[in-house]
Amino acid sequence: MSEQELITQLRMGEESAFRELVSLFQDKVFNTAIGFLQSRQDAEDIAQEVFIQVYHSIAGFRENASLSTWIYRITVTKGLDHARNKKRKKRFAFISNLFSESNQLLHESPDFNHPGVQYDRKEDAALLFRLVNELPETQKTAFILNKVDGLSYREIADIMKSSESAVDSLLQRAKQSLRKKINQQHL
Amino acid sequence: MELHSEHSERTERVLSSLDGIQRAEPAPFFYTRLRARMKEGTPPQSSASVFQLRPALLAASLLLVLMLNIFFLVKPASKINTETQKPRLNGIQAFAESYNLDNTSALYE
Repeated sequence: MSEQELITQLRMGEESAFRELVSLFQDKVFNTAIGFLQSRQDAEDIAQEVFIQVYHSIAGFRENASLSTWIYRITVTKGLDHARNKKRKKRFAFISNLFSESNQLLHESPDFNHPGVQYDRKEDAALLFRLVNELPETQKTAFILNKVDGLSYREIADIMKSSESAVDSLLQRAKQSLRKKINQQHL
Repeated sequence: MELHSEHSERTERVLSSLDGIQRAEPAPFFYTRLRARMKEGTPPQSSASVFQLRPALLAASLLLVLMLNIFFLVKPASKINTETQKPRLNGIQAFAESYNLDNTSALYE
């Protein structure tokens, strides 16, 4: 089935088209989501939300971009939103802990191990994922789409509505910043 | 010098730790779980959850307390005193009147 046919059938509410769309994109969406959220459970939640949104807003899809780019954009937006909320909750929990009388210790979430990382690189990858979380959102997005999803500069530029040179610059800055952060870990 | 090269080696190793990464896959029966959620009609997580409203509520409460404080600080103390003393004076006058007491009467006459 061509992309155009798939879109037409989705707009007609065909269950089989939706099933095909999910089977085509579930791994991509889940993998991107797990890169942003670094948790299987959160990635599953976000992946479901992405497909629910696609199902409800396919009628409004203007086809300025490919279906894949559009789905990636939804995933990135939801991933960033969710990551922001998580950070906010963590900060709030820290502040309320300061004023609470219980003196309970706040436990840092354990390092994330991406299931697709080679066994002998797991420790290094866990550190890298932790540091990627500290990057500005645009650098983080470019880095995850490139390194975790393996997308080309052209594809990333389409998703981020930017140019290839801008993506290149984002990735260079991300690597520079990560290099600095890793060095600080050694001190 | 050796330490420096060790550090930079480690840095490069960490940076390249995602090379050759395999795509993560959701648990089996993802589509079944997705359809179940759609049937349940669980709305996508709203961006304005109760949690997010909490800081706003907190800020509003603090602002209210602050405004009440300012109101009572700015309001002249004398005004409060005169207002509270008035009924007392009236009460004393009423008492004096009911017992036919006034400033001019001589008790020992």
